Amino acid sequence: MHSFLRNTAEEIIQTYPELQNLVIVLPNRRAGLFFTKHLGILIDKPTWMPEIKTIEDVFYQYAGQRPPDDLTLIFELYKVYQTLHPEPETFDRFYFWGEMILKDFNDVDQFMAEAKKLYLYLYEIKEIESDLSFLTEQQIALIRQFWDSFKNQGRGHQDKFLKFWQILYPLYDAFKSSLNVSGMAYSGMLYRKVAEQLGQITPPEKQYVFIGFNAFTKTEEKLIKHFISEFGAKIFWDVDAYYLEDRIQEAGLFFREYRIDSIFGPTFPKEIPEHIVNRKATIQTYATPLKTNQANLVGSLLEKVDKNENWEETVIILPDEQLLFPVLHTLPENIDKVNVTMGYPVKNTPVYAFLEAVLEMQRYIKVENGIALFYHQPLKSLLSSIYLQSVNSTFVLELLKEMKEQNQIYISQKRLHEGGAFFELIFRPLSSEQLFPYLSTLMEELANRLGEEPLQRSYLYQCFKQLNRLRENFEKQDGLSVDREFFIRLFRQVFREVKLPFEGEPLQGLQIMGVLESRNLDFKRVIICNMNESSFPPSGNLNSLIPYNIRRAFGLPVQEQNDAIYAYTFYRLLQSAEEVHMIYTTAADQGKAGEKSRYIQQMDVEMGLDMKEEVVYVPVDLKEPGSIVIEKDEQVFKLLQKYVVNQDGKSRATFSPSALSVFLDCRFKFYLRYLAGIKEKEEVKEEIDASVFGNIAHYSMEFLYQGFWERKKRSFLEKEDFPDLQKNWVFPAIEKGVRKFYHLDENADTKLSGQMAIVRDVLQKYIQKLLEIDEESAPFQIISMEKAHQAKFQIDTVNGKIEVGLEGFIDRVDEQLGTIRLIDYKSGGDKKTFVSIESLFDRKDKNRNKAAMQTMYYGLLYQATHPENSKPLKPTLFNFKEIFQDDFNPYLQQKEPRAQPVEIENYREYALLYEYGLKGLLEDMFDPKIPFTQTEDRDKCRYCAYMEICGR
Amino acid sequence: MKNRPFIIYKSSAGSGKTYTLTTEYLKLALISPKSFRNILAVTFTNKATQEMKERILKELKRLKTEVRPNDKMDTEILAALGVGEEELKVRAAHSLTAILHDYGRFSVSTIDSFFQKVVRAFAREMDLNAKFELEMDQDDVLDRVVDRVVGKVMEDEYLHKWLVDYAVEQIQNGKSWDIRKNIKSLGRQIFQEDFKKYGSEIKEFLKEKENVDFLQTYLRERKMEIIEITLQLKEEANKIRINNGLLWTDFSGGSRSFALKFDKLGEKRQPVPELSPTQINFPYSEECWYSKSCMQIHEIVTAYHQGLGKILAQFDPLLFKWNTLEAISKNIFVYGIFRNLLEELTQVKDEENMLLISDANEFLKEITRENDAPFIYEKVGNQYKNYLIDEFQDTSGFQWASFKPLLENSLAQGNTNLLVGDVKQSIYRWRGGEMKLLLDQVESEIGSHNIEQRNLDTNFRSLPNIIAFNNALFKKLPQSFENVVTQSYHAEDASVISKAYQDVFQHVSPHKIDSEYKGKVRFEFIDVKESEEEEGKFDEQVLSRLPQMVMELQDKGYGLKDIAYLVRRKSEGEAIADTLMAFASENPDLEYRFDVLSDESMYLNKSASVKAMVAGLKYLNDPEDKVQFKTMWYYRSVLRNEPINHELFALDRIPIHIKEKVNAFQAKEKSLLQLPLMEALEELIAELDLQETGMEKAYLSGFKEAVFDFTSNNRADLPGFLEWWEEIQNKRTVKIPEGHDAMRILTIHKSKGLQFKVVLMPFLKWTIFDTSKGNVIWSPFEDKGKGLNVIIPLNLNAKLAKSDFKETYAEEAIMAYLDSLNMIYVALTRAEEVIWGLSPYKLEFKKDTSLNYMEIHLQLLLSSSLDGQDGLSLSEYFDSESKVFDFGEWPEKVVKEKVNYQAPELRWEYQNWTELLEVKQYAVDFSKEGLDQRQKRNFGLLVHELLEKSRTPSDISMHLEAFYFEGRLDEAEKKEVSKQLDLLFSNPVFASWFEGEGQLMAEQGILLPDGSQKRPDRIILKEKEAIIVDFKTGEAYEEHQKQVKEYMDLVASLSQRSTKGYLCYLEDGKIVEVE
Ligand code: SF4
Repeated sequence: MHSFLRNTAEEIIQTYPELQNLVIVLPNRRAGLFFTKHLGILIDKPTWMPEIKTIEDVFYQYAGQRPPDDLTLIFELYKVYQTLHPEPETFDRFYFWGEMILKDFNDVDQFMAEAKKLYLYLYEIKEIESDLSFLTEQQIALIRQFWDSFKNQGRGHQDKFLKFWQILYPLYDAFKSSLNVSGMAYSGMLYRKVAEQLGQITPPEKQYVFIGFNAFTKTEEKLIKHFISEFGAKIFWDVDAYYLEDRIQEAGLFFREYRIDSIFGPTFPKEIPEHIVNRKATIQTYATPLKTNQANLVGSLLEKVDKNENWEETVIILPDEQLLFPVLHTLPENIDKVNVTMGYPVKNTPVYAFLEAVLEMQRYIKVENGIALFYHQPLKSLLSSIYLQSVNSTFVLELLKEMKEQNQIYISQKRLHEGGAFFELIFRPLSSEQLFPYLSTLMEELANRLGEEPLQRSYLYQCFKQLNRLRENFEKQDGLSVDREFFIRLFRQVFREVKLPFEGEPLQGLQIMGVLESRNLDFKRVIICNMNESSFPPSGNLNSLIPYNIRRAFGLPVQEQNDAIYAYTFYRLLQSAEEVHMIYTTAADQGKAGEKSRYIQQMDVEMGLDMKEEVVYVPVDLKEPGSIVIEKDEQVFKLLQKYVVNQDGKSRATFSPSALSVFLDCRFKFYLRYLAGIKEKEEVKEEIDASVFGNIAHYSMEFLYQGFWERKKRSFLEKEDFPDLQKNWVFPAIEKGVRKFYHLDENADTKLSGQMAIVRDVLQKYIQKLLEIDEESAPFQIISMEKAHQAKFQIDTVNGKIEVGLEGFIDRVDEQLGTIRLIDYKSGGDKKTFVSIESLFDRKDKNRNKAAMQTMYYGLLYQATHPENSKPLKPTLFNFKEIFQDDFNPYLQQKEPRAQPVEIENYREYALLYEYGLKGLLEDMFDPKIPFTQTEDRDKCRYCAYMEICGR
Repeated sequence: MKNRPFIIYKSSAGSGKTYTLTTEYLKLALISPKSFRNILAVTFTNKATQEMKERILKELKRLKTEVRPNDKMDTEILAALGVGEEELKVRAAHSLTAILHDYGRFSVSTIDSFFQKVVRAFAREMDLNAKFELEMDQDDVLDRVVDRVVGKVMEDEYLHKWLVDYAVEQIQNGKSWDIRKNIKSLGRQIFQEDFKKYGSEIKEFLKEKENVDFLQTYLRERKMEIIEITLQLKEEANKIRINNGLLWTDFSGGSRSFALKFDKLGEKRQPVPELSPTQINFPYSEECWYSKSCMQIHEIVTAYHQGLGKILAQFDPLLFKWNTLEAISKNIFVYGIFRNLLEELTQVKDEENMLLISDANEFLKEITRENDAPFIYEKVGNQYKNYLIDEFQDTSGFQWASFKPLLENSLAQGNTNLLVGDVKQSIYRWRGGEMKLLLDQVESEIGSHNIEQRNLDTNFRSLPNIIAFNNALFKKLPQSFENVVTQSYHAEDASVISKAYQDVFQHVSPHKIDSEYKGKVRFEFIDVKESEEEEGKFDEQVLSRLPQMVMELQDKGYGLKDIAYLVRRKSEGEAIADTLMAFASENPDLEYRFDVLSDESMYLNKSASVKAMVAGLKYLNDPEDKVQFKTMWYYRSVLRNEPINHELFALDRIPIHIKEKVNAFQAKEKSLLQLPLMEALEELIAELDLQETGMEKAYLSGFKEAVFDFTSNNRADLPGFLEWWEEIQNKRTVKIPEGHDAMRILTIHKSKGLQFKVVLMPFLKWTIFDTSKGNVIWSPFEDKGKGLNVIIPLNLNAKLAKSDFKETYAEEAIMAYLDSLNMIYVALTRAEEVIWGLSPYKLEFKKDTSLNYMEIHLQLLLSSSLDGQDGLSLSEYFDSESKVFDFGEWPEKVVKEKVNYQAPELRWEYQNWTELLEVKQYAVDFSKEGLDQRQKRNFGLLVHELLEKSRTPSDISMHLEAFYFEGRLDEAEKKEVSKQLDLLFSNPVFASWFEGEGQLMAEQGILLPDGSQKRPDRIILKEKEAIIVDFKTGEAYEEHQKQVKEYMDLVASLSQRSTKGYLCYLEDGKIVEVE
């Protein structure tokens, strides 16, 4: 297989047997590794190694200094910026701008542009035209064209632009000098310094050899030329005729310039290699419908490769690092070693997610008289995260349970700290100063707790390093204070860019790398994913504050140069490849349609070889889950027994009216909840949904009359009692009700917030109304509230007569003018009319009246518990959605089609029919021949907690 | 005269729009190789962009080798360029290469992506953040905003008051209490252009909280007034009645007499009863008040004259007032909350520095208004001379406003621009599409003298019969629509409808005119008996017939690719897909195929595998949630055809055959949560052996993709994903490559610009003006007397017809009818050869209401339209027996040879890669060792790393700095390290290794033939001797000595010098000479 590095190594060994006297300079460290590897294979006896450097090393070495990290620089930049800008934005808003400005300054220096002239200002244009002479006519034209676009001034944005543009040069100037003071410099600055003082460089004793470069910055170009012309340095080009000779091929853009350069020119090989044309590589393109399918395809491509293949010669290029893990997942077994070289974004990892979550939780802490309270939602996801579970899972689970059951909206710090040290560490309200120490200890603690998780640890470590930088910088800036929001925003911005650099060593096994990592390396089999526009090559918005034409005028790189670089990295791969697979995806993403890469188009037109394109298709089939039928085998039947009353006259369980309703709605639902015992998920409820509202209403009414009872020592209410009740007791009762529902300490005056407050105030209006209604029906005697009533009930089954247990809580029982009212508060808009008693038990009936069924049920229960009772029993329904109507009437009515409605005055008159219906229902339940099946009426499923199971 | 620079193509369906655009593009692009850089072609969808690009490249590839002088495109190009064929070839070649190698400037793009490009260039000037994210998922944003607003309820008393009042009102009307839901539904408006149009006024109005209060009180008072008035009227009326000794039931109509409505006056909810259309004119004609047989005619007439007549006359005006107030009140509470919504929205945008897709238009409008075109081009770095805008009828007002300055600038320089579009195909009004622009507005704005209108009136797509049918149908339909609008909705002037369709007539293309096969149009009206006329009945019948239809078509020789189902609603498409897929799986051994393909209707959450995965994830996220646990295993069993029984569901049981699986899974639970989401999913899939079954692969991948997308754009945590999935699951569908041979199912909206041999419309029925959805329209409202002038969000509903908003309402009606007309036009013009539709048949219908249904209009026209001087008279082809319209024959069956293409295989087996991959370790990192060193403050290894890297002390400090800037050390630690270094250097021997004379070979080291390397930390070659040093941390070992010895021998042989060897232990700086 052809390999540029190997060939070069050979040539070098021949020309310079004394390797120790060599300095080999390569574009990146990785190329260096491969180079030495080749050397090693070529020598036959121990030898000194040459010095291997990157161009960067060379510059920094001569500069005697390395640049600090960008964060530091941006901070420095910001300091200066503040002094120049009339109203500077906050640092976090500045951050990305800073990044951009810094990059611009870097370019300015890397390409040795004269900043003063580049950032010149509109009115200066005339005067400097003369001494723009160092520019070509065409360059000046560009500049003029740009400034001409300002013909009519005073337009909003142009002013804005100018205002900002104006400070850029001063900024550049001041920034540099302030860096000089603090003994720092950004890389471009160092490069430029070196390049401008080449004269002072003492001739090195060693022989310099530059290998495999493509695009130089001006400074690099100057230095290398100097070394060639002054110090006889050698340079080797990794180039192919295919793109060099074709003057339109962007891949050869730079080489073509260098080739006609007086110094570089001669260094080009006499005849340019023609690998690409000569090697008839098999080239295959694939289109996949989904991004992830690319991984599946890669997998099957590798599967086909012969077992004892030399994997080093196969590379998978991943322009989108996110595809890394999906690809790793589908690697076939026959691959024993993998070598990954690329950065993987830390933000995708749970440990980062956890950190961010912990930080954001701070937003949701409220401190009330010295006690820190944590809001349930963010807390919940934190607690269910593994990092807390693994520390003290019992505690976590128990707490989560408690939160749900008791519907806790705020959890106290104290409670959380019971979890142990780690919990104490995490759950505290922080002042902004504490954020840094907090996070760094947190990170170390986390790392300590991660068991054998090398990856996780290194993710954390990346974050930690970044945090260190942030902290150090902030500590140096006395100027800017960190408020929390600011910090969180900054944290997000900075950390989401952090990547974990996988740097594969040793250089064995299947090679997986990003695009640029492949520089100078050669492979026999090349598989490239994401051969999509805006991925390979990446989308072309180079962020710069220097307008396009100005950049061009001053020789700063623009999109064209970027494209050229990527094009080169692509075509290079073809120089040695015998087998190329290019995979692109047609999946549209974020509004971007999956467009195949320009390179595919180019090759298609220009390579003159027939490129097959295959379309990946994933079979679309569906598994039809049949309907679910649970037979009443004795297993199930045993479970039913718990409702049956046995010798001691008791039953282990009883049928509540809602249970029966459920059974009528859907037999399977009943089975799941009451027999299979699958509880539906409980959640902390904060919304005003009907059930919450209803619950609180119940409590409040109970508290209200309970209170009265206790104060007045009587349960008999006169009309006169009401004004006082309405005026003074409703609100407290509700407060109490709300607190009971949310398990808030009674006397601790936690302010109700959000929906809770609304519930309370809405309820206010209701109870008031309810009282009005009661006032009208006063006087009446309260008999009981929220009291349980039981009964036994006989039915016939295959194995004879049995008794089953019934039970129900009656919201309120009172006696009014000799009538016992069985009152049920309903938060819904339940109807009060029903066609017939039978209809109450008819599961087919679309508007079966559940409420009626239930309140009548109370009649049955009450009578059973008070056999002596001879007074009429009147089912009564306070359904909140109706009580505001003028003609509100709380009593049930039977209304047969085309007949006047009849009010139900006394349950006992209907008892026979009702019990008959009930009997039928229960016998159905105990009939072994009728299995538990899913309801036909899908409306029933709409709010069913089990719809995931049934897939409805 | 030279042709005008501004061309507007009116391109009816199938008139070769792309063809024309391509031609025009090439005309401009081929002027010089670089010309293409100055052309911006704007398409409506990304897909269209693709096709356009490919088309252009394709033609160029062709032209460079072959010019067809008698081909329309080529002749036009040749003429336009005024060159010969050879020259054209050359130019094509050049342009092609130019484009391919300057691809970034090959500007064919959607409006959105062009706008974004510009906005980015102006980010600074627009006070946007430098790296703003473009947010597509606005609903998601809205959710967050609403939550935040509700959370703030206690801090903002107004907000509190509104929310409470609102909740109460909702409940009193027996509506849902879920405030959020309602706020959201109206809140969506803030992203709409209609809202933004009034944006400034509205914000102005909302700025003062009092304003909303004021408006509320205003409404309350006005309503009270009306109620009082009506109560008085009621009283009067009854007085009069009693004086004449009458009962309301004595009046005409008896027990159901109109007169009873007098008694209904003044009711709280509806104080003014509505009079039926017939009753409307009762007030003015006493005759209608009594029945001929009536005994008390005299009394009634007197009563009438004593004032009942006048009172009744007041019903309508009062009702108008009332409805107006009602309409305003409807949204007033939520409206008040808008202020908070907008505030929060701005904050959220700021915090997450994002730009909403809907803002882009607004921003660009500002940019192009604020700047001269040249400046914009300079900023964007691209100069556009020619604009080619496609699908112009769907361009929104803002978009046009943004383009206009650029176009005018280009026109001023005499450059060619063109718009292509078809008013008849504008079906994106709900997205802000403004067909009026194309209809006439642009012309009037740019000035007709600049504009050249060209009408493309030949249909290259369809066979003669299809064209003939459409010509006939759309000659009639617009008129009858117009009539309905004017009659039932009292629209002043609905002429826009017929105006839009004046150029509907199409010619058959020369290629098709004399083709063997002429094409077929078939509509079946299914008679659903009045009794069972509920929804569903029709649908059932249709679905049951689908398989039959498919088989019939295949018998006629049509392939699946040729067939497309067009539907109005996605749910219909869903039903079709389900039915056919089910049928296919139930009848595997039929020789027919039923594969369907749809980006819209084949939802991921339909699949058992996906359900299993989702359940699994939910369970992992909340182990208490046993429902999910059971769901997961249930679907696994389903997929593997394992028994579904009590064992499986009972909480305390597990079927024996999956026991081990379950245990294995539970053992893994914890570790799953440690993995990145994508990982966790892969593991989960493996745990449940989902890929083993080999089924539902498309759905599996689809779900993976969903997770993949989520992680790339969000914080990748499980709870977050699950929430997101709740929202998204009804949008995510399987993706299938275009080329695949299957029947397409798509909504009419998506079908735009596509064509199919056979178009099936199984659910050809819909309500034309659907007021049930309560869509919102913004309308100004004024009450001079009370000094009130505001923009009000109204819910569209029939009541508006009897309110001060009746014009707005009528206008909406017109547009709605036009929408529907365009909808059916687009649908029926997709077909090349066959149209086949199914609609319900209506026996008799009520004039006013029924005419609001599309199917009725079709039924009427097809069964009874006679005229046919030009074109065919439809009713001839309608068989009133079978209720089938059938025009044209089936084609001769042609048996296509099967091309069974073998798609490349995919690998599904899952591999755990963790062993394959190792991460590099550093001193004091977070590895076990590293942490240990940290705790002990032991920097030995780090010092070592420094020393081996460096030649001189200055190198050392340089690298130390580097470490610091990398974040590996903080200030304090750095100091410590340098302390340690100073200590070492205080020893002259040690120091000599770094600054003494001699050549340092440190970094280089020695290479051995096997490729391995030996790198002692220091090798110093002096005149006579060579010194070798190796630095160590921790305990001293024998090995150390050996190793150094080894080095010494190597160096000795290489350097031909005597060697000294040292070991140096960095913690205590102890130096040992090696003998
Ligand atoms: S989802 Fe429907 S079928 Fe399933 S249990 Fe609930 S109600 Fe019954």
